[in-house]
Amino acid sequence: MGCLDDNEVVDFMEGRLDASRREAVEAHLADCATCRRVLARTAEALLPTGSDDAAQEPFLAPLRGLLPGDQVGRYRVLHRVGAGGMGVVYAAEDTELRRNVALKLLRADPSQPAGVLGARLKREARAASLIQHPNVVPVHDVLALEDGSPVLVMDLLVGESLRVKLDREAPLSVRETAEILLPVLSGLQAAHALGVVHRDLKPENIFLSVTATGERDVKIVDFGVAKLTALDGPAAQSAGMTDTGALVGTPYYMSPEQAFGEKNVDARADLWAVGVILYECLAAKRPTEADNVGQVLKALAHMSFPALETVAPSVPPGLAALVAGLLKERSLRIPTAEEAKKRLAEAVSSQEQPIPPRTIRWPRWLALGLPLTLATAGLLWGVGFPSTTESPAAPSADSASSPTVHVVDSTPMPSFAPIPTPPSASTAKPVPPARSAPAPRTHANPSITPTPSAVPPATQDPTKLMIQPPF
Amino acid sequence: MLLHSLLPVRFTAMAFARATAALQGLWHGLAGACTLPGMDEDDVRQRMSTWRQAWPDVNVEPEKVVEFVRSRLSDTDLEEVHGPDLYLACGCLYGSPSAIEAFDRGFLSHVPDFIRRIDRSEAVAQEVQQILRERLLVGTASSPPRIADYAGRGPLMSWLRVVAVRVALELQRSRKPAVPSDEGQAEGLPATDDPELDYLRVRYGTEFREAFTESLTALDPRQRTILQLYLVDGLNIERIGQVYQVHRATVARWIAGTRDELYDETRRRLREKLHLDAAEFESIVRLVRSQLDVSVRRILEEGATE
Repeated sequence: MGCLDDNEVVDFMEGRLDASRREAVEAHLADCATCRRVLARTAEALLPTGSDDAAQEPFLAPLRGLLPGDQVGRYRVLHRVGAGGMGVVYAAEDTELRRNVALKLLRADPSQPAGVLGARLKREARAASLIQHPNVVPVHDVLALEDGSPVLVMDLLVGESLRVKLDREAPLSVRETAEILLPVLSGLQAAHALGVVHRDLKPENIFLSVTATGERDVKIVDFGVAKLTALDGPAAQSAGMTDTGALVGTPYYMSPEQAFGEKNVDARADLWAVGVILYECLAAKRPTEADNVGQVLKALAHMSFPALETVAPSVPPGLAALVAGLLKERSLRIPTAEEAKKRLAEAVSSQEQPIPPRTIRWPRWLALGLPLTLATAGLLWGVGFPSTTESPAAPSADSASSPTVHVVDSTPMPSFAPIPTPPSASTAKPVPPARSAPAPRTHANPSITPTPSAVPPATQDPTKLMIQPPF
Repeated sequence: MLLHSLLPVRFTAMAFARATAALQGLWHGLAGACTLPGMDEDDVRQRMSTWRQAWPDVNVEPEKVVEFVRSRLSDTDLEEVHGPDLYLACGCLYGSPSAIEAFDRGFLSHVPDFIRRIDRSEAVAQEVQQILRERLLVGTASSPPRIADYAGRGPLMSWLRVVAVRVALELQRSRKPAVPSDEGQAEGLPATDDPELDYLRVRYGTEFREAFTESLTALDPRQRTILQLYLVDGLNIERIGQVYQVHRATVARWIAGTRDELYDETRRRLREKLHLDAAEFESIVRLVRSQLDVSVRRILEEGATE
């Protein structure tokens, strides 16, 4: 096609072209600098001069993120697994313990100097690492990149998040809801006993994992992560809106005390989130479902949302009462995970036979097909999955690494048993690598290409530059 | 004689035929002029009256407006056209002083805002406004006023924004001195402080350039466009998001993903082209990576000016 006329530029910018016409215009724009320039300068005229992208969008800083082969402390990046509102997840190899791990690169909080962040990181990581519970994914290590971006080192899991399951299957049965939430409450109980609050519990952070032996399990991920990012306190309101956009970051699961910036957020905030998740599992919608953040906050302020029994009349009364007891103003809320767990078990057992808390049976198709299907889908926990409407480009960003994802995810994984933190090379038994690293690199010139052994152990000083050029 | 006697008759007949044809044409014209697909005359007049309410001082003959609208309805539903804007544009096309005044006051006055990112100076803004006045409202002997090009599918203001930007870019191009070619440009990779890397840069610049250009071509058009809008045209992600109707965070992920893909693909192609030992290869790849954005910008800009 020829150059765009002025009406076509407007049609393109205002989304009035049908798919085939739009495709033709995009093909033309890719090769026509003149039309692209007109488009760019016109788009600029739409808004007043904006702020700096790099400040707003840390991923766009030069050398954004990590690339295969990068050395972060003692971890060598294998490939990118997925990206979402909270950060980017990479599969990596622990070069000391010879096992695969997940590196989660979080957004740096631009308001915090790198040093302050480093100190906070250490403190929070220490707190999070105290939780030794089968339903909590431990953070093995916390590092910081040069720009202050925190990197969490965790187990590489196989499975899917509760978010994915809900998007596909909600509403869930009472039994299945309990199978998922009882272990979650167990994990929360253990964490709360240590004084650690999750603060950002949501279906994205509840992972339905499949272990190496094919067993299913429920894991809470990202304990303490909220404190490492801007997703805490008053900043969370704007962060939820501007950083992640759409509905991913909307504070549906945030307790009123968090949403309105109270400082002494405690374990009850997590219980509010459990209430919202229970509600969503059973009703296929969240109590504060709304078009925008403002309306969510308004509903929180007035505690105005429909009771569970009105939107899901088949829910047993005991369960509806439990949800109502969790979605209350803090002083009236069910105060402990232990009590919530007890009431959940009772509510379910009143309907049917009691469920052993951690003996979970997922559907057979899930057991058989999950490792394969999800591996290719670029699964991983804790990241929002790019929606299908987001782009032709977004999937292709991951497509380069998808064959590797497939290999990693379908390979038997190391045990999920908690590993002492920080792991030490002298005490930890080397585990054979589940997957071989990329072709070994030989470095003829050490001045240009430091060998992995020259990289300081990650735990020595996380605030220092931990990323080494890979070559 | 016969001829003479017949002449008046012939003339009379011809005149009659002409008059009839003219009358028929007038009749069809008027009947056609005041109807639009799917609407009778009353509906059309009602619609005109509604459109006119936006510009109470602007008086344009309904027939002219109907004709103006009808010629733009080939691929647009009447319900989707921007009627009041078309009404005003039509008034301007037919030289209605009140329409021109309304256009000048309500639309052309915004032009300085539209072109501020291209040129901030007041003088240029005034010049662009003047050029637009002449092109859009006056026209030339060979072409009608260009406001006739407005299709009415989008708002008149959006259309004017594009036209204004085009004029400002033309003006800028006509005044910009030719940029002398950059010595380092031929290699595709920018110079570095490291003598060893610099040697590699010069030695393998051509191969890098080929690998990079091939990788760029292999991207899909949208990836290439967005990368260029971002790196070459300097459009920020907020605005790219507006153009593509997605959130800025999505654009950020697109760009990051495209950069990764470009880097991986360039690296793969370089490995095929260069038969280097591992250390040398990794050094040049390191250089590619560290300078990726600069290289992208440089090569794409060069392509854009070719």
